Amino acid sequence: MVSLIGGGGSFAPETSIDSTTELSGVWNVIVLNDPVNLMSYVTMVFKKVLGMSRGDAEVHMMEVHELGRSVVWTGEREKAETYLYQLQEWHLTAILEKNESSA
Amino acid sequence: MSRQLEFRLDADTIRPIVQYVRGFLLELGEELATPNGPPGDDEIMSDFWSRDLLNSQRKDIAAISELFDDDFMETGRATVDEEDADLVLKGCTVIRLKLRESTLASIDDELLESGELRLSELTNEQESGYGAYVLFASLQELIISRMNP
Repeated sequence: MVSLIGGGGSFAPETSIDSTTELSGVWNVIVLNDPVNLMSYVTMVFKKVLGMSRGDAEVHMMEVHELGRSVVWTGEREKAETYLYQLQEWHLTAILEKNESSA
Repeated sequence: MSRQLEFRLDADTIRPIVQYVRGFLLELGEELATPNGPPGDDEIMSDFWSRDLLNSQRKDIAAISELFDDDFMETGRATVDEEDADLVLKGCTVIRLKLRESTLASIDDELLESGELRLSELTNEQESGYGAYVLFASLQELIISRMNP
């Protein structure tokens, strides 16, 4: 946190800027279940977009299918947004959530 | 050398199904098939994000239109080039998502997934929609198994 205190006497406002914005920290890319996409398709998308091995892709696909959601990637915001966009481009239902456990 | 996947279907059987799908391809150029959106509530980013997704979806739809063109309607024969395979795969999903939320909206997920539908209980439109739903799933399975093993 950075604190900027003006040097202009009593008229200078005291301001503080929180350098840790809402977008910092660790983010989860989450894929949600949908009743349309084929298991083979979801597995293939995980392999293509996230570079997963077939085994990992199938584990996450089954998690989506059985639990309704799966955290498919965790990391910094910018890259999480890139993955989110790519998964959405493949028409999977995907969202970002802040990883609170890493805070 | 680029690979190709050629398939042939019975033109007379498939024609009404493809005609039915063609009816809403234009619509899919104007609205996203999924309720996806940007990760935040920044309006400018949201506009760009949705516009880019829609542009991407238009390419998917264009690939499907090209695949099931007038020549296909005559012969029932079509070819997927390797470089277009991703677009066709995505286009199939767009159409299936659209069918699921429109024509097939009243049908249970389990019934659709198992394929244990009683065709006699479907309306003509639902029958065409279901035919298309199965056709595009089969095409996806075929492309994935041959080109993305």
